[in-house]
Amino acid sequence: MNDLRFMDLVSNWLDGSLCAIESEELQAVLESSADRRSEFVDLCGLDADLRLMSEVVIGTPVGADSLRAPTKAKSVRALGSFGLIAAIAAGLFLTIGYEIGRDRKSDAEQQIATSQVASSDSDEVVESGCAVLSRVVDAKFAGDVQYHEGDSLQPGQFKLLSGAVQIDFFSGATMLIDEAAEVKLISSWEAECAQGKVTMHVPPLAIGFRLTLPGMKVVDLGTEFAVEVDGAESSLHVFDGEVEAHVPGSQMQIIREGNSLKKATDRGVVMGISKAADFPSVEEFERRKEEYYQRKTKQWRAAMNTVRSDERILGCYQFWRWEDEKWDRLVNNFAIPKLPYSHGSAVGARWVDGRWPSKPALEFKSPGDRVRINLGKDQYEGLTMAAWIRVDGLDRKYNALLLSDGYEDGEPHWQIEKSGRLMFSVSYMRFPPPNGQQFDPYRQDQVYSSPQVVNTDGRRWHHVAVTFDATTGEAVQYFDGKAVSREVSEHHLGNRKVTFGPCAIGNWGMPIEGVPFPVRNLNGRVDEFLIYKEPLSGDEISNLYELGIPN
Amino acid sequence: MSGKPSNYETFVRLLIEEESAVKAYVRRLVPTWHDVEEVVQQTSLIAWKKFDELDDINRFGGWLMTIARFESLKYRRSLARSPLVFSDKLAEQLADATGNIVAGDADRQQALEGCLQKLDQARRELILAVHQPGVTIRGYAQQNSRPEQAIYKSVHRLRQKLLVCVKQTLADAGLS
Repeated sequence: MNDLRFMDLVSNWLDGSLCAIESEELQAVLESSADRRSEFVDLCGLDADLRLMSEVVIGTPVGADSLRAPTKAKSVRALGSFGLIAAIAAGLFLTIGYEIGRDRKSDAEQQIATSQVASSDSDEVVESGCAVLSRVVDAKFAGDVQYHEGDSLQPGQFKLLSGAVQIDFFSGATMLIDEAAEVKLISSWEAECAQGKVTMHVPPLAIGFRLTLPGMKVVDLGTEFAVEVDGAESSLHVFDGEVEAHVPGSQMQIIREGNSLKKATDRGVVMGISKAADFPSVEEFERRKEEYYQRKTKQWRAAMNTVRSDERILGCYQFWRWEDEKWDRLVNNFAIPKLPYSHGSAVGARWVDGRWPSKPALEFKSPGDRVRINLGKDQYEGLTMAAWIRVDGLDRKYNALLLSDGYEDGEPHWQIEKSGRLMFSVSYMRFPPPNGQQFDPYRQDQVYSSPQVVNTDGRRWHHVAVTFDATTGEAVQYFDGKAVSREVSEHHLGNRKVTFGPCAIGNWGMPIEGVPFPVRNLNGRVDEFLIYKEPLSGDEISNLYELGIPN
Repeated sequence: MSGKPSNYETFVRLLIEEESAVKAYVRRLVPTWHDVEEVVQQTSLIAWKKFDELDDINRFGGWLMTIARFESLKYRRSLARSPLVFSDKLAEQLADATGNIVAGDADRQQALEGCLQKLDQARRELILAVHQPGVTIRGYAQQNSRPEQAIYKSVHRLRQKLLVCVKQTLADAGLS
């Protein structure tokens, strides 16, 4: 056999595409030649090296929001002791690294590794914004842009149609905008207001912040003030401290607390009294926010009543915190009719804000954090899992959504790979051979991976779901209501069942004493987790997503 | 991990050092990368359970490889008949085979990094993309609307090219 033929056969074996005839040909040559065995071993070693290098992938995940100002999803990951191939990473949608001892690597090592990333300019995460959108209440923006709390804002136009927002400039100055307004962010130290009402709070750190209005420029001297622009008329109102007002054609004036200055194009400047009540205030902002989210929660709860009473639902974990529950660890199953013993129990995880401030969530951070649930040993012909999650980091090789404890026959595992792919799998034992031969009952999992969809930028809430039909072996995965993968496992064999048993949300199982176990804790938040005993349709998943969208 | 933290730390450190070597070893004995991960996970668990029995930690690498060998052969017997599963005789032969490359993991992998950098970007992307977890050449071809056979061919050629380059790099450095 010539080298080329040999190479083709080995390559086909490595790629899993070797046919029976080729297999015999390859085996014959390997059995008879020690040299060919050496070459085979070298190629296997190369394959292993390439797979270890490719396991860590960086890219712009599907669904990354291009309208958002922050850096592209270039959360460059760091690598083990063998270092980073910076030159490749620079131009490539993938980057490569050896990841040594995944799962077992200590946090300390990971932190050190992350800080090494900055060694190459092109790899470092860059931020070109000048401010952060720190609060958003019921806000509608011009055009197709949808901003979210926590987004960085680039210099440029910012047009609010309704609702209210707070913008924190990197300099430390804060701007409140209520109702329709048009501002232009110029830098951390400068903005323009073209229309509407804006209140500014400027702490000593940000003294010198400039705000330009038609016909007037305001330089802050450490204070709280507001401006209003209504067509050609601009006015300035100082509530605290003092500001410099520069009006073209007249001398700079210092306007002090309690005073106002009005400028219209056809008239000169007019001094007056400032009226704080006419402008956006923090108090009003808070009140409005509370009202809005109470309304939102009420609407959501009403909508969820239909979901709770779906006859296919097994687990409806809505993550309500019971303030008067003494131990504060109960995660109720809201499914109707009630299933005894199916309530979850939080371990480690702490209560925090969920998709919106009055919706509680559990936050998973430490390797021990989890919610324990047990849905019993009943067997089903399929399943659906759907959850609202906020992923803060993909720290582990596998980051848990829901994992059955033992991963025994028919039990599901649902997790997010480090690369941002959703991964669903069901563990199945092999069937015993019909002739009663001895066999090792090893597992043959059915594994399904989506494309990269999860990224950790911006701490955004997302809806993830998977449906699995155990009779056909088809799994469909969803991200924000849209199907992102649909696959039948190559390992699927005839009619199978699924079962849950004891499971953990956000982590893996009950460690066996004395045995090291892979750490798979989620770094992030969960505020809804639904489990059904049948695969839901695409429309039903998209409906669940629509019901729960945070803004 | 309870009760003997220092022991556990030693174990983890040793395991991390050996992980790529043990994966490369198991790769030749089982047909898919998924199988490799199953076997290596099982191997690590058994090694931990028996770690107390190892008297000289300098022999950890060879000891771990012995467990991996045993686990691989046991595992492959449980696999369904498939053209990818070789005969028992060949599996034993492969378990004993040594490759032509004798350099240590770090040197070999560093050589591979260098060789990847010598490829143009499109080829580098391709070879790395098809080795990602869960990616098959067929799936990759479909996703990128390219003919499957052409991708197989390119991947075969790239493997050969990289292997030649790695060997040459190691030879130049006096490591092979």
